[in-house]
Amino acid sequence: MGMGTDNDGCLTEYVRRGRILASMEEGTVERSRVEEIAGVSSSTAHRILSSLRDDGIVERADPGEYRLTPTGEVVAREVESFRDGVSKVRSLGTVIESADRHGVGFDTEPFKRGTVAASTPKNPYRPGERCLELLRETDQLRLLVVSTATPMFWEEKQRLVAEGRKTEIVCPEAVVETSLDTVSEETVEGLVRNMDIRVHDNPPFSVALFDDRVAVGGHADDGRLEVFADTEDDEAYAWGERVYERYRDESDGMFERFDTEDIFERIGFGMQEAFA
Amino acid sequence: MEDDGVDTEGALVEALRYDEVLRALNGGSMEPTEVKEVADVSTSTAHRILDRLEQRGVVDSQGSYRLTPLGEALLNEVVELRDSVTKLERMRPVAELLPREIGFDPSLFDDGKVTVSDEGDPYEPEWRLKSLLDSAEEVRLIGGSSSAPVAFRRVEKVVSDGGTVAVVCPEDIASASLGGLSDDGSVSVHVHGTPTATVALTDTHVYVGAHDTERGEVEAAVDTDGEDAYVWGERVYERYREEADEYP
Repeated sequence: MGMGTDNDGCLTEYVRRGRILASMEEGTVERSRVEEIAGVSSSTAHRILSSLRDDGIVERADPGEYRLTPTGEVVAREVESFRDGVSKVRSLGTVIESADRHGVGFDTEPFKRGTVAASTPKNPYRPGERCLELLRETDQLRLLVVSTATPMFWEEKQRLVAEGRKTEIVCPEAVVETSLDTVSEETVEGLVRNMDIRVHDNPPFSVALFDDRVAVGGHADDGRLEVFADTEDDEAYAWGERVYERYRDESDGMFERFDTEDIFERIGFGMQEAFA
Repeated sequence: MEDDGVDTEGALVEALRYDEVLRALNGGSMEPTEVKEVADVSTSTAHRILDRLEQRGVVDSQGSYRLTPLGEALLNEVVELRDSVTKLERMRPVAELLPREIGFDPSLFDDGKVTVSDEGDPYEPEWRLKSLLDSAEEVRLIGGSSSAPVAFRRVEKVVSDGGTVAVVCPEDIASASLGGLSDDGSVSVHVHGTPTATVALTDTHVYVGAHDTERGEVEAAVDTDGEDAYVWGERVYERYREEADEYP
């Protein structure tokens, strides 16, 4: 019984063979297919399979064909969920680290069970896309923001807010600057009506409170959004509200930081009326 | 992000391999010499392990080493995997002996009570079944080859106490053990050629017993009051009953 006597070695072995086990979740798999999946020679595949058979994880179905035992099915699922969990935790790494640095408690668990959108070389905009998806569905929005987003995302966000998403934002001055610079004539009125901006110089990570979902955003050192994770979990939402409120309480009103005249000048079109 | 494929495998395996170091570090900061003792490796290996963990952001060092918050979160994942595999391990005697067609899912029973026949107590699984049946008012039972004596004695008791019983079992067992039962509708018996396991549904619990293929006795069993397991047990029971014939 490999699993009992050498639990440690076995766990490593199962995780290492995770892809093979996963391939068997749909049914029986031929040995040649195992060679392909694992990228190994026929004799190595044979050795791997007999070791998994000794452990009672895999059994022979027909000659040359293998399938999971009932125990193996659970092991395959557990390994999958371990892999998924580790990958999500690592994606959330920047949030975890900066929460620690800023002395903000952060529980990864509910976010792990939700959707974790991480940027990858193939799809660097995935986190922003997920955020937009949620933005489109919500009526209310409270944001604690670390840095500006990609131009495309930013424009769409401005448009949605201008169209009527009641939005409160707490963000560093640089984000306010971008906000001012990207205001267009069509959106200015809606933005003034719907958006309440406050300034905080040092938020730990981004937090977005939608109608019934809470999200955290983790940023690279240069401010790029690396991960956006959201969940419906009630406790996580309450946590998000506490973080948001703490930073809002520490923040300044926009007009305490920016000169009104200066703002008008920068926007440059009929703002007096809008602010009046 | 480096997690995009190639490196995942290595990182996962590493997290498991240095599990004991991570656990030890979880208790507080450590010197490399302490790590060396915990992991039972040479000083240079201890340094190498710590370097790698530091590169991955799992530990950081300010003189001594400590787990980073990321390291803690990763350790949780490792502990979760280890716990669930350990639970599976407890159930392995049952899982391995049950016939495949019964569709046993060990994860449904992972907080259940496992009983195994061994030298100290060869009838432990049967005693367990008895105690579950003792407190039952309604019983559905698939009787494998010879979970018989104890189970069927209890069945009589359940009936005489005013409860109801439905049994699916091989014909020889039905005729040998259930002949004396009343025919007032409180007992329903179906015969099935080959139930190769014992499954009992009481008011609260589902019990699954795996039989030794040679001796026929219940060799290992697991039971739980978990809802999903109970639903699974009901499905198994229904399936066997549909395949069975009414008796007599």
